Amino acid sequence: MQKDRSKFILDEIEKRHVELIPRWRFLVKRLGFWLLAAISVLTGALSMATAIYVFLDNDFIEDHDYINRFLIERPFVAEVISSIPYIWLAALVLFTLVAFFGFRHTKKGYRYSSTKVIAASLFASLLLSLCLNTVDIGGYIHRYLIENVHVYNNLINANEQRWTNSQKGLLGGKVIQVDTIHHSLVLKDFGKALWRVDISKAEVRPKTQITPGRYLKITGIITGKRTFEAIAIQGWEKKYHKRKPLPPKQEKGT
Amino acid sequence: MAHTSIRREQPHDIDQELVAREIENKQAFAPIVQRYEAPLLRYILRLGCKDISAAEDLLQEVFIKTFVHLNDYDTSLQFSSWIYRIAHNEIITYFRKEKSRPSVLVTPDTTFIFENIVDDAGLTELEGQRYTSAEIQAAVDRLETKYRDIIVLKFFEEKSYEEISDILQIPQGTVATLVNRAKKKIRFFLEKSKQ
Repeated sequence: MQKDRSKFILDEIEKRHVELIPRWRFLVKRLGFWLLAAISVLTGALSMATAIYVFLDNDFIEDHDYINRFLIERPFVAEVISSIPYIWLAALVLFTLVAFFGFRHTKKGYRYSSTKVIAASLFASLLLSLCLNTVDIGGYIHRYLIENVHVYNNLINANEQRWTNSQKGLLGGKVIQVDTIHHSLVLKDFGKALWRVDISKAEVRPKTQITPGRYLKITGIITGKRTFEAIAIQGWEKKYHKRKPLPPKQEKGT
Repeated sequence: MAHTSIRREQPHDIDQELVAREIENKQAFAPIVQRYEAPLLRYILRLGCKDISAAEDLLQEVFIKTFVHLNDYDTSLQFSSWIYRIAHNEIITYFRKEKSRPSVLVTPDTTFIFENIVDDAGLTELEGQRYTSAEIQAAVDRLETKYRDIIVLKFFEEKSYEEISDILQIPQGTVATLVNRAKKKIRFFLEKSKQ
């Protein structure tokens, strides 16, 4: 057992023409795993940013005046649960697992427990997603998919679907053209159909910008083929239709 | 048992010095082979490779793989942990190919190691020295591979939790958990065997 194998091993190394693998190859491999982890955290952040956008975009949260109505019409909890963007959460889980895999294969990744790595990855994705949503990245991704990827509509319960219901008087979409002379606008809905909307009698919520490129939520009635008469107009973004509290009602005779 | 612990025989920086020399000169690999051939062969046998010639072949592959990957050696690790890691992975690949379940090899010098395991599992305090080496080995052999690997490294190779963590590439907390579970299982098997 104690025989010296060193000569035999060195001969074998010579015989097989074995050479050292250059250091750069290991560096590239390690960098590859770090990149995989980093990209996965980033894509996880994009998923989370979109999930947060879709969830918060739902009107049931924003319009507090209607909460009572929601409570009467349907259970609020069910409304919230149905609005959770599961597809994006699933994507987040997937990317987190890939990030975990990548990190675990870095030089000292094995030293950290799975729970810590996964929690750190989720936390990093959350922080990054909050930063991304300050410039509306989540909204951009969501809207792009809603408008261009048909199957996405079937995978998500989004506010855009709520406002693609002209029969019930709800029309949402992007302003293409504004006619100030005839008080009308051309709006492209989320199914890419063009509507001519009469806004002459519409109540426009404060701070709503009716300009090409803006997304609007219009309440009204259908008046013909692809024509709509607006009763109320509000911007798509929450900040445009936060209502000011109503002034206290004055009693008669005071 | 002192011969099983490479780290205690010579300072850690000698390993690194050898590696640094080796990268420049192939002949400098000889001292590394000389230092590690006995402990690694013993480790291979202890993990269950019963055929000595197969173990020697495995050992040769371990050294060649070590040589090829020398540039991947992280100097913040102990060289012994790194070479044990390579050996461990080679052995696992070998057993996978062989489709055989390894058992821990008994040699005269392992008798007191088995006693140590029983001591550590807290059985001697309660039961006295009533378990034979064969019984303890049978209990160790009944363990799942992941527990057996840990027991071999902890008790036979006398590695610390940090070293085991670096060899098996698992967190230290997991090492501690696996060691405790393995001891509990050994205790359970031994108690069951006496019933």
